[in-house]
Amino acid sequence: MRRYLGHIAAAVVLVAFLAAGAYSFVRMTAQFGLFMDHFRTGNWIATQANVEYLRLTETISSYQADPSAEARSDMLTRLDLFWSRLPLVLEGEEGKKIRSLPGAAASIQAIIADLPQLERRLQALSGRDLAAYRDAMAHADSYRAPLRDLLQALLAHDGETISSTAIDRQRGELFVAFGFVGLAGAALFILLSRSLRSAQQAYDKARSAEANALLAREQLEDAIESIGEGFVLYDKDERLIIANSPYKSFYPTIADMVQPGARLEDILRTSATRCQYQGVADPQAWTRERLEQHRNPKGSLIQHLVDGRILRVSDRRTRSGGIVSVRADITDLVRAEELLTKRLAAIEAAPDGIAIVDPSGALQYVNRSLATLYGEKPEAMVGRAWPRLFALADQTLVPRKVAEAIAANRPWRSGALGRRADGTTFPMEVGLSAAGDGGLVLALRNVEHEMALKQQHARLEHQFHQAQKMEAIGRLAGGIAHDFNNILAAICGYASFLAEDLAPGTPQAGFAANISTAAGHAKKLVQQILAFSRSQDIERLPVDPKLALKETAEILRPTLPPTTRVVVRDSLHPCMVWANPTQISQVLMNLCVNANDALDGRAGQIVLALEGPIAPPDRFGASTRGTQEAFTEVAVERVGGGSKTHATAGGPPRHSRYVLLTVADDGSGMPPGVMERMFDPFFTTKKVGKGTGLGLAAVHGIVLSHGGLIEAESGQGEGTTFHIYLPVYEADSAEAPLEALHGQPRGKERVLVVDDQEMVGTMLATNLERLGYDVTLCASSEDALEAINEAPFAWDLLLSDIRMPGVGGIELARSARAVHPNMPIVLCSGYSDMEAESKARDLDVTIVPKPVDRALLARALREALGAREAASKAA
Amino acid sequence: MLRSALAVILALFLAAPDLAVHAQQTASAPAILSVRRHGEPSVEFDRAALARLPQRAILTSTPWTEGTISFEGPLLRDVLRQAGSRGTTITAIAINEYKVSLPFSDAESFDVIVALKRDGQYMPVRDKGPLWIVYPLDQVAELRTPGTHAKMIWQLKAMLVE
Repeated sequence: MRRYLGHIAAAVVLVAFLAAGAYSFVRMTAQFGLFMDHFRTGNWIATQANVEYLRLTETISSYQADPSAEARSDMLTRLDLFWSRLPLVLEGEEGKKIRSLPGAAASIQAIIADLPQLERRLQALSGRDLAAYRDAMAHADSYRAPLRDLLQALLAHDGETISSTAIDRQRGELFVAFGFVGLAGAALFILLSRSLRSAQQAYDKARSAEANALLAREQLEDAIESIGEGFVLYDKDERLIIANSPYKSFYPTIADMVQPGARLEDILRTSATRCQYQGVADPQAWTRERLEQHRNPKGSLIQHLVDGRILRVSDRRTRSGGIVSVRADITDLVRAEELLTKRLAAIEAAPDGIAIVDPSGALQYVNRSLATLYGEKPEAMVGRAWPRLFALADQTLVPRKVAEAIAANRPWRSGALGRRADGTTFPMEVGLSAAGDGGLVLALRNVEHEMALKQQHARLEHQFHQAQKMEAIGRLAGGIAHDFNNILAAICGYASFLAEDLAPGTPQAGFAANISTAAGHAKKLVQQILAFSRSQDIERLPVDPKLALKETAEILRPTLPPTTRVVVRDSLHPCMVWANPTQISQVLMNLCVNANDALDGRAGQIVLALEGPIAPPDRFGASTRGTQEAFTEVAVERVGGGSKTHATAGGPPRHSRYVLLTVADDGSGMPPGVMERMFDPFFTTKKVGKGTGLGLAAVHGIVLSHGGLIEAESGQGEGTTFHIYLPVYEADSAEAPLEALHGQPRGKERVLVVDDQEMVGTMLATNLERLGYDVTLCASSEDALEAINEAPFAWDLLLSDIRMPGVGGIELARSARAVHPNMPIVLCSGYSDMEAESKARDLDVTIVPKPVDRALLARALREALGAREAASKAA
Repeated sequence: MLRSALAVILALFLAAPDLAVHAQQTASAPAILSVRRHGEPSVEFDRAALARLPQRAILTSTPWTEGTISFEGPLLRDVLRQAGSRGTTITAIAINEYKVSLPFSDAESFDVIVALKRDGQYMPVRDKGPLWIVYPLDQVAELRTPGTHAKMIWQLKAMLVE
């Protein structure tokens, strides 16, 4: 209570002071307001009126003394001014107080009423009339008393209302009172505060220190308690000082022991014996070891608790010699690390390339597969900008697309071209998705091999379909054509008889001639069919392409319209081709007819060019010499970025030198769809009756059967160019049987030749006879079988065609073997007899491709006979 | 007299009545207001010159009159502008040499007029004329103070701008 005495006293003094101050202020304000109110608004008007009155009288006097116009004007102005002051008493707020005085308004009104008279007197004044001046002054004087009385009345009224002396007196009293109270208060305040301050300071200091210590301890305990880690503190005698609840929760088996004062060794031993930890075999030894670690702390150690939790224990020595020990539960961390390690191993082992891209776009991690794919070490690739994994063209495109995809919150997947440091590229499938941190996860796979397989598969499939189609059409057309030829021969023959017998000029002779002409056309058609179906009975001989071109151009020119210009360019180095001259002519004619049709009546030109000899272009594939069948596939591709399409047929090339025959027009050209099918028999774009769809099919068949290659380039409206590559006839090649006959292996064995086609059979027989063999020819399998059955050992070798009506070559071979198991058999196979060939191989027979090459045949016969001899010797 | 007669004749002949009237007035009417910037020659206005300025009416009551009165005359700022005077303080002087100071800014801040007419009539000296500086007391509440009342000088004859 004593402490607050000073404060209370000070407060009392202050309140008294303020009260006194407030009182005096209110009092003063009230007085001043009253004073101002009354003084301002009344007395001034009265004073003004008095003043102006006095000035007026002065000017009257002045005028009397100096009767000038100026003085007169001044006088009259003064009258006006005086006059103007009087109405102020009678109207308005400011004159209100005067009006309230009894009689005031009446006296002013009386003056105003009198003023016109005074005005007349003053206006009448002139220089000499002194009496008039006296009268005027006397008149003016009559206002003096009322005006003065008014002023006096006002001042008397003010005196009643306010007494300025009283105000001054009160103010003095107030100042004295303020001074006294203020001084007393100040003195009291100083005295009390000085005596109390020292005692208070000492007391506060002690209290504050105590509170701070308490607070600090509470805060420390709170802090220790609130941390997630287990915390325990031992003093230098290894007795527990404090342990927080996480610590106790880590060791539930010894929760009862964890109390201040407990010995460390006891706690350790009990926890070991109560199976608190995993893998403690000997609790005593463990306790000793742990105690040792505790006493000599060396950083941290890992503890595996029996409940599966994993703790990181960190012991530290305190300055006072105690030990502070912290335990962190790192179970989740360890598990996560394990999982991460496994995942990393999985990523490392993945066959696909995987990379992590940091937010700046640099590769942060690259797995082994990716590095291997790029032919580099993973660490060398880290830090590289990820778009550099792509081919140059994709390096700007891909990041943009990826950004778009990621902005749309989806991963980006696509095929792209990868680029290695050495500049090589490879196709790949890539997936990019956003990583949480603004980076990317990238996975890619090299699909080079897959794509190659896919392409090969597609190519084989296409080839197979094409082969099947050609086989079917070839079989049909070839079969019909032969019979049809015979019929045509008869028609032509009889037509010529008629033409001979009928009198020339008669309609009947004309009819016969027409029959001959029509039959001639039919014959040509049959020839075309035979050409594309690649019948075997075509005789070939060395042909000079220059001559063939010249002849064809000569035949062609008259048949073409005059608007079509034929240009012949011949830069061929003299050489020959092994060919059928009629067929070569047929090829040229067909191409030229098409070229002319492409011009469609417009003026244009057809270029016939001959070049070479040249090596086959690379686009036909690797050059392989051998017996491989020519490709019948038509490969179509767009040339560059332009509108032209490019097609090839035939190949891979089997010869090193070719004559290049070009037929080019500047006609309408072909769309890609037409180019794909242009070699198909019966496919035509011409009007019904104008084209047979056999022209290019025949070209294809003839060129390929000659071992040649075809190349076509066309674009709609850009004309068409056909390049025909025909192999150069090399004098020493296997394709020169006449000259090379002497070099062929010969024999004297008996050979049974079977072929349903008489011409082919005869040709084969003649060939073998020339080689020295004893040949018997059968026109059918049935005949041959009968012969074999009659005398199985009369023949040393059977040579047969595979495709024959009735019993085929395979069937014949099988039957022959049944009678004569060791009989050597050679079968001739057409290009489309793949199925038959595979059957034939099972029978262990030799296959010779058609058209039959004489040298090959000679060797095949010798090989077959030799094998037989070897077999019989071995037996 | 001769000059005014000449002017009338001239006006008739030239058919330029405006010019003629102006000439007549400037020739005969006495100046009622003199505006002077300190240290410069004064600009004199007769009643017609003030009436030619754009006129503004203020409907207001005053502590010296009864009821609402319509005061009419040019804006103080127009008068000052016409006189080409600028400054910070205006000392207004009445015919009886009563003087009062007005802040120059009052002329810009408020539509203070130099009243020529009271309720449509020119004011004679005895009715506080010929000129009375009138503040729009009833329109602007903040002007209703004894300070403003003191500035509403009547029987104005001159203004000194400093």
